[in-house]
Amino acid sequence: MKSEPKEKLGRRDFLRALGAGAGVAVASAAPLAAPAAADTENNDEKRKARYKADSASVQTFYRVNRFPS
Amino acid sequence: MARMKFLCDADRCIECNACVTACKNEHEVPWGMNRRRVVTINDGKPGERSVSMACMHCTDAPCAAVCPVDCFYTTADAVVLHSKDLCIGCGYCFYACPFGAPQYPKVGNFGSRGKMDKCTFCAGGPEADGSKEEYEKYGANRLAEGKLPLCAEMCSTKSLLAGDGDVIAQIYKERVSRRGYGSGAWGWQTAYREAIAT
Repeated sequence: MKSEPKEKLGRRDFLRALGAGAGVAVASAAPLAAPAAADTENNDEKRKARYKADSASVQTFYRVNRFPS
Repeated sequence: MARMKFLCDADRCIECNACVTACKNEHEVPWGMNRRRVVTINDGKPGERSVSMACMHCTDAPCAAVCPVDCFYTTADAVVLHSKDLCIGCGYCFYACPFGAPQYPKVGNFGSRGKMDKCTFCAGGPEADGSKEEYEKYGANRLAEGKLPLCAEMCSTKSLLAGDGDVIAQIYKERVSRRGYGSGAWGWQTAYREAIAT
């Protein structure tokens, strides 16, 4: 009787191999688990004045809104 | 230091909703949320008035007073902003705000509404100016580009004023003195006694 070729991965080794594979996957995904950068500006930076009163756009807005009604 | 303010000249507002559309488009505000809306009273009747409303960037903001995670902050330009990274979506600011400014992406109970969203006076948020992260979370930062909020710049009747409170108050004062009458809004005499003429 001809015996079937022995499988490379035994039935009892299947779960062990699966576990090792999952470990590799977690290790490779580790850089993604780095802490997320939140609010990149510090307290002083985020509160600083951004309004530019002398810009052409702002001055034009004030000028055209002064047109008589 | 300039204090940024909105002022809607109710005598000029024609309820065209261009301010609402401009805001949604500029900041890519998702469906179901409006950072600005037009409120009309006495619709279709004599004395109909429309006012464009958004976050009024209060000096002593009640939203900031009730926030349990302290995610609000006021900039040197007196613009009230918040951090979506800190916001837990509790909804307290929505209950506290007299203008209904805070908006949520989802309808739900405590903690399931998503991060609060509101008018930023086109001043972005606590991310680097003009960065992709800032745009995705808070929208465009026009103030840093030397511009004013797009809602006001788009207003066809020049009803919605935005900018330095002293300057726009002066512009409105000139309009009122030229017209010969004020907004007619009640409560001004209560707030300012005889010092102001409506």
